[in-house]
Amino acid sequence: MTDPFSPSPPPGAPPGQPVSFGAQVMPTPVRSRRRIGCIAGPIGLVIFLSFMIGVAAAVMGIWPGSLKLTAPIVCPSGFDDTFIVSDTYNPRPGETVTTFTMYCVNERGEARDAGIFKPLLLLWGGVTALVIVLSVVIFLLVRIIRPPNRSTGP
Amino acid sequence: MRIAAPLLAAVFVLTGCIGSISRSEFVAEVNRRGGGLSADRLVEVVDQIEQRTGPVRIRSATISHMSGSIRVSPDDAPQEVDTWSWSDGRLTGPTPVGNASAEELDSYFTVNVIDPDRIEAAIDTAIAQSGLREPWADSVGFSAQPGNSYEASFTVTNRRESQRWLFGPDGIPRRQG
Repeated sequence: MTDPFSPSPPPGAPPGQPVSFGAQVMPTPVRSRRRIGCIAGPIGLVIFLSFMIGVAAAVMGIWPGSLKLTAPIVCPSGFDDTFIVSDTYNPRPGETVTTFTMYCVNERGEARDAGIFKPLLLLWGGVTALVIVLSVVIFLLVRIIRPPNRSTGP
Repeated sequence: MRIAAPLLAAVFVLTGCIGSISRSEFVAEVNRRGGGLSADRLVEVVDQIEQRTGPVRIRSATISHMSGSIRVSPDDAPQEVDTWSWSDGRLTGPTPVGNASAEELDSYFTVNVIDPDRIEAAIDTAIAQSGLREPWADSVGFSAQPGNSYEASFTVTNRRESQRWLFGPDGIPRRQG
């Protein structure tokens, strides 16, 4: 005798298949992949963006003049020239600290300290966007040069 | 790839030497342009002080390229004098001034007397009229005068000689001596 509270599979369906109660139910393996993707995607994005902060800091450390690229946004109007000033300190014997300060200067020599946070933030955004664009371009070029094999019928 | 990586590293190392200058080079460049003295920061500092303490009377002030100091008295305690100073955008103070002189307490001026554009024009005019080669203005000192007024004094200098200049709220510079 069958259990009245246990739904029976539809006729012709192989045993062990998920049973529908009216709403369509996705197969279990696909649902798990989507759940993993919803978690891994944002985590991966955070890791990528965090990594790009390090890249931007490295770019600034190797090439301090890269901060000048942010001058059109950071510097007030009328302060058209930009200087990256490095100051080197020796706080303790054997230890050397170098700091960079970005100044926006006008023709009179009046200078405004642009700080380092905002230019570095903008540099980070620019480097990240550049990496993303280059990745997409390279991906598309690879697809054009070596299109994926398309299986054809007999 | 074996050639590109070291080449790229060499480019980065070489360009690391390009793009930044030392502090002394920056000061020399600022002086080459005239010294960059501006009263904008003085007005901003007074506004910041008044947000903390209420209206103030300015007894004296000195502004340099990226720093300065000012002596003020609160309107509600005019016999008290405090010193504030700023450097690279940071304002510090107040530091009480002990035993302020009667002469200092006699006169003051208020922030609305300060016209930054007129002050900059006076400095630039003096630099142009100095006749010096590659001159710049070092610092400007403001001392209060009776009747909510001030007298500003500054030095136009180059590596060989200096000239003393004065101007008031009218912004007309005159050479002293």
